[in-house]
Amino acid sequence: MKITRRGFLKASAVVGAAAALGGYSTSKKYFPNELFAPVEASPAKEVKKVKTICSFCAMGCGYIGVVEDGVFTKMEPWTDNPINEGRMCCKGASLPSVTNSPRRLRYPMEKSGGKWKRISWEEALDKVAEKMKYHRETHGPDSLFFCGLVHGSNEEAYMFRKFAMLFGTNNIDHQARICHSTTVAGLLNTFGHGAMTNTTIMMRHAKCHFFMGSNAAEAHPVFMKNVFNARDENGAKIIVADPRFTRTAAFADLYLRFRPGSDIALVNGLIREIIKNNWVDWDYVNNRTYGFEYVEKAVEPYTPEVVEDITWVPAEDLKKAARMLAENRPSNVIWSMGATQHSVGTQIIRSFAILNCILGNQGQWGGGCVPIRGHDNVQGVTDMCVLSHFLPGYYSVKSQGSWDYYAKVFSESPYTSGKITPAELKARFGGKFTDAAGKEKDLQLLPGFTVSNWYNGVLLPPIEGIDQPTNIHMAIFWGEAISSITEMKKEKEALEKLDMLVIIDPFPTAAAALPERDDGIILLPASTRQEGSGSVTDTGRGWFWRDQVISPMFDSKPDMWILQELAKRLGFGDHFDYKSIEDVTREINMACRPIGLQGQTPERLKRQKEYAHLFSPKTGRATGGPVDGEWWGLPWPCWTDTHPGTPVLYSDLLPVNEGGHDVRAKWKYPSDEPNAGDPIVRGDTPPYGSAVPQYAGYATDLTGEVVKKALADGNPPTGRGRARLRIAGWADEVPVHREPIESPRPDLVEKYPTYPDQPFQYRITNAEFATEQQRAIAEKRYEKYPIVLTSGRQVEHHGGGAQTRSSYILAELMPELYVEINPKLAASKGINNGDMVWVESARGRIKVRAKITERVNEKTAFVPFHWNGIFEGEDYSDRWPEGTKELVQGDSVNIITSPGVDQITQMQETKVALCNIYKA
Amino acid sequence: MVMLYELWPWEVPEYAPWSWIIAFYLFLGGVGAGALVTASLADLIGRGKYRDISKSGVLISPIVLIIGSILLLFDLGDPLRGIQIPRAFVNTGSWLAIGAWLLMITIILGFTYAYTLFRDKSRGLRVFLAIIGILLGIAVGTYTGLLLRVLQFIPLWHSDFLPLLFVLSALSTGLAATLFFPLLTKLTEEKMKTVHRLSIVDDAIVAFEILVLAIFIDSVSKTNAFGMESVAAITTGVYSLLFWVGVIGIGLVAPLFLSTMSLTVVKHSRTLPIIEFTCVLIGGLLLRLIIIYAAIKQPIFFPVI
Amino acid sequence: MVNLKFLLDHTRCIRCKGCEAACKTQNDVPVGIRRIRVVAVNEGKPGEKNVPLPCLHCDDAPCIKVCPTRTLYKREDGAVLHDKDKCIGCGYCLMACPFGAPQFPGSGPFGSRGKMDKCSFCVQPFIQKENGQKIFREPIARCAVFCATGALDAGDATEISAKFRERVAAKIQPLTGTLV
Repeated sequence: MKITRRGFLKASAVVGAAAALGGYSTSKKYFPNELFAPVEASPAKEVKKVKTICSFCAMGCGYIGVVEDGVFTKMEPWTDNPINEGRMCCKGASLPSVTNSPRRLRYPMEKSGGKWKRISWEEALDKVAEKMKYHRETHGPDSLFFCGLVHGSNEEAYMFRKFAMLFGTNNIDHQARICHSTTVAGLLNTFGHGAMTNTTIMMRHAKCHFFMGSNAAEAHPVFMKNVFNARDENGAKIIVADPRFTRTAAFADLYLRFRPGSDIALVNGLIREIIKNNWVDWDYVNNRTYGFEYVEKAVEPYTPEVVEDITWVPAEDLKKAARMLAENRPSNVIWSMGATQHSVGTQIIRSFAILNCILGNQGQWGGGCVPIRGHDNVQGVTDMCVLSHFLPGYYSVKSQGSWDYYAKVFSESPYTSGKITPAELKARFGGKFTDAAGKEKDLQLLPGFTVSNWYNGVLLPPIEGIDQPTNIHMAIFWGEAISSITEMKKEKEALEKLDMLVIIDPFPTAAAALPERDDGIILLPASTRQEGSGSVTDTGRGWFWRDQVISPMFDSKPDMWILQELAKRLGFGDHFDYKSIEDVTREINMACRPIGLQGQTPERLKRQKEYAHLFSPKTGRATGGPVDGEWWGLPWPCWTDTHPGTPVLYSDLLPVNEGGHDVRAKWKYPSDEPNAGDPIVRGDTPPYGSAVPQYAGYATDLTGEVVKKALADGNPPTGRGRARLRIAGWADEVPVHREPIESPRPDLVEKYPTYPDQPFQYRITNAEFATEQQRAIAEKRYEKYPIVLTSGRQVEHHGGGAQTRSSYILAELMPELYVEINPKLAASKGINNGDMVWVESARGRIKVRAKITERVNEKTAFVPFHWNGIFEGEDYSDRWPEGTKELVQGDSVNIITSPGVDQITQMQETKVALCNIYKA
Repeated sequence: MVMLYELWPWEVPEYAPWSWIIAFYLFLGGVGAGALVTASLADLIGRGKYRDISKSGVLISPIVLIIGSILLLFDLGDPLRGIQIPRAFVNTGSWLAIGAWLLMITIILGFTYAYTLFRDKSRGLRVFLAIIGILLGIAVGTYTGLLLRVLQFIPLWHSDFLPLLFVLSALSTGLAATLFFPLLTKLTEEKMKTVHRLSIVDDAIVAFEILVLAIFIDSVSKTNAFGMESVAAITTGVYSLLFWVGVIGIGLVAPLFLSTMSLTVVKHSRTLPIIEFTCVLIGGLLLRLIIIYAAIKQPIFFPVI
Repeated sequence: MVNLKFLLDHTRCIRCKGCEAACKTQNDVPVGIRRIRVVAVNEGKPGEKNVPLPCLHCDDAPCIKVCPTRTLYKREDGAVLHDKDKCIGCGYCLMACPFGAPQFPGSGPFGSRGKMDKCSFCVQPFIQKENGQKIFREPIARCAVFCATGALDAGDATEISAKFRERVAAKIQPLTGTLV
């Protein structure tokens, strides 16, 4: 009997022993062999196996779902999947227990008179549509806020954005805002695209992994597989910079513990060290970047000693890290929320990009910028731009041209019967209004509310407080758990003030229970990802087709159906009358041109799945078969339906037709340069193609001729440009250190203050940055709350935790919330391991169990964020509809996290706040 | 809040399934074994002189063993299956199975013996039963120690001196229990003399037990870190009070002292021997409890690499 | 002759508990029992190591020796299996096993401990019978095939040790150029 991993794929038949069991009890044989005469058990069950993609983090892990008699019971490893080779973490491996969780919402429910009661789908949809129409007519379309769908397929996300466009509002946003919006802004403005520049498979080729703000071992366990493969095969080094000694840090060759919020100082210190030692890749810097002199000047003050003062990192370790990064190229920077969720998040990401450019890592296999995304399709939903400032495919809402383009797409799409002219589309919006500064603004061209600030739309007065003529009166939360958003107290207030709250989710989530209101909440049970199909984009931009494992359980419905029904009731159903979900994919292929989504047709995606065994797990490239030469998942940009996809962005190592690419050449030199106004194109010409600016009109040319011409030239349609190390016109042209909103060091705040207040940021009339920081100093929070609080993930739970905390397996693996406290700090406060403690900040306090550990130092504390069900020590689990509250609950750290947001994207600052801890 | 586990169970592998029930069972097994040995010896040597003591012993032995077995049954996960001794206990290499059989036979023998003793059956039969009884009693006493001794990853238990310690403790507690009841009935000069004589035997056993206990503790402390930790818990840690006051003080030193007193100073008091034997019994029970609770399994975390 | 064994690699285990969840999904193990668990040493300190601990299916298994009822037995292919029909729940195997592999649903007196359950190389699920027949599946340990980083591998001892040697050989210190 030889057992191999592949052999396992053959059906593992249940063999039973029909031997009479009474016989052996008197048997004197030590090993009763007669028991093991294999007897084929009668196949009592109908067994179906479905290859599909996991629905937790964005790794894009594949698995085979086993369906017995219509029930998703077991999982088998999809060993051919080049990304995970069949491997899963605990969340993925307990998917059946999530799908089959008895705590799911089973039918539409309405809260009226303080009681939850069951209503029919018809009634629920009618009620929601009626209310939407009512508010649209009385307050204008901007009185609505749409949020979420991060777990939806690309198709559903596209439909959701289209829904908001046709409804007439930009008040639509999703979790990427509080997840990687700063990554998108930072990378997009530096290189041209706001996504991970590698595939996860390529991590195998790196020589040095620099984790900064990522705890991949807990947040993305399967990612570590290729990190370890690189370590064991190439001798790759691992550097981890993190305020906590994380489980990832346990594997580091070098660990740097730095103060939360001092990321830029640390990276600038590294850059200075690299420049000073002349480890700069001059070839890359001279030919493919713009603005190196500015970087050189900006990092000059960050000597190792200065950096040590700001960041706690010993000067010696900083020098060691710089040497390690330089000696082991290609190196990369891997980050997640630890780097993005800061008031200077965009600049932190920019500093990573600059570090990679200076070392010449960008564009190498395994090197470059590696933001690992959180939710299974957050990359795809970001590309579909369920965002308040973009239209699907990153067309800016601020430009009338984008709207006209989409009016054309909607009308010309052969997959729907609807027609709309740009003028009709404009008419659906709220029109024009005069803002607080007396300027006339068009609501269609004004970015809407963001997830991190939506509550202000309810709480602040129109015009004076918020930059739109009406408050938000109705909110639709579509697969969004409120517990991951900061300022929960304000959110609770906003949820209570809304006229109607609609929650569409497989689980009721905390949003249903948090507000203390007796009516006006409607819960619609959406089906889980295992009950629907569609395409999904992983963190490495690869598209996969996710097949339906089982048909929707209980009375739940797929998101697509809900959207179609709502659209029908609101009078624009003709734009949503797709025959199948594949038709939506085809419309996306037609519409989203800037990032090259033309090649990911449903047929190709399904074909890749069928021929998964031809793809190499070492490179992700297929050899032979109909998929010969294709990259796994056809990572965008995939310019045409014969293009193989682009595994590494900005890499000129391959011809464009085989997956080569280059930095986008869409910008012009700023006015203070001698060649002002010229497009920024790269210096020397690579072996393929030539240095050209972006091909004009490629993004709006529905025929695809411009793209074809570019490819014939051997160039990407985005041209061949230079990475902008300096962005002229930004508050910080090159990243410099700025203290977080709540800083434990008033002396440093004086030296490195945050940005001045900004008028008209998204729809906030006056976004406070410096004022908030000064307020913290004036209140002496650094004395009252001397401990720096940071938050993060647990491996067993995901996002707001509604799914995972409802799974009996995951609830058992991690049944409680805790705060990590250093033994020294605990001793000084008289706290023992396991005591209940209060963690208090200027916003409020939460009651959690103390976990004494040396993971954090005595100046920091750490609380995971997945929890809700307890609000400031008060249990509110009785407000869940009966039988649906999660198995395990806890207090929410986002009650006490910082109010700060990023200056560019309104990313919330969850990673740095000041708190105090005392015994409960 | 659903507390599925105690605090942080995911960091500490939990190994503590045997509790006070097993300690009581081991103690009662010892008492039963010792009582049978005492009764048999008294019957053999005393030739009818110590009839009262023999009767007390043979009654105490099976009753105590039955109580112990019932306790053991309660500790099982499936008592209904556990009760089917011939059907369930088939692994003759396992001390638990051997023990179950031994206990069953001992109980049957105890009752048979009692029957012969109370009905004044022929002496030949009684001598035969007494010899078997002594052997079985010692076997049961040894078994209670061997049951623990074979567990090689628990340094406190995996000691050659543990069975010896348990046998000695079994004999002394058995003797104490056997003499305890006759003391409560009408006291004669004859009986008092017997008690005194047997109490000297008990003293000898206790003195030997002290020695063995010292060697046992010493040998365990020399095994490894976990053995040392167990010993530290017993001698200086959480169980130190119970050990020094309970086991050493009440269980071993006090009986010796009281016995000396009753032999030399207060010769006709029945209170002193009663206290003495109660002390022996308490000490024996505490010894089992401490040895069960202070055990630490030596974890092997990295068996392959 | 097959001899089933596990390979545990602490240089790769990140304690994601994928093995624990995969085991529970595959074998329907209820709350309170973990046929495999990941143990951390020096948690939160430099030198932190994790190792998954399933039943290691010892060649000379102490649990088999001490089991009074022959609930535990070694199958020809090396898997140490258990027959719940025979288990009386004495807890002796748990005391004998150095890895804590045998588990009981409860603890405490009066029958609450229940019957023993342990890793069976995915041969037997938690409830071992279906329609009156004993279930015996193919011995493919799901914890190993699902392990996120390859810290856990399972199969024939010769294959496993070859794999282990391969890994040790691969961990050669690389040649890195020194920059001036």
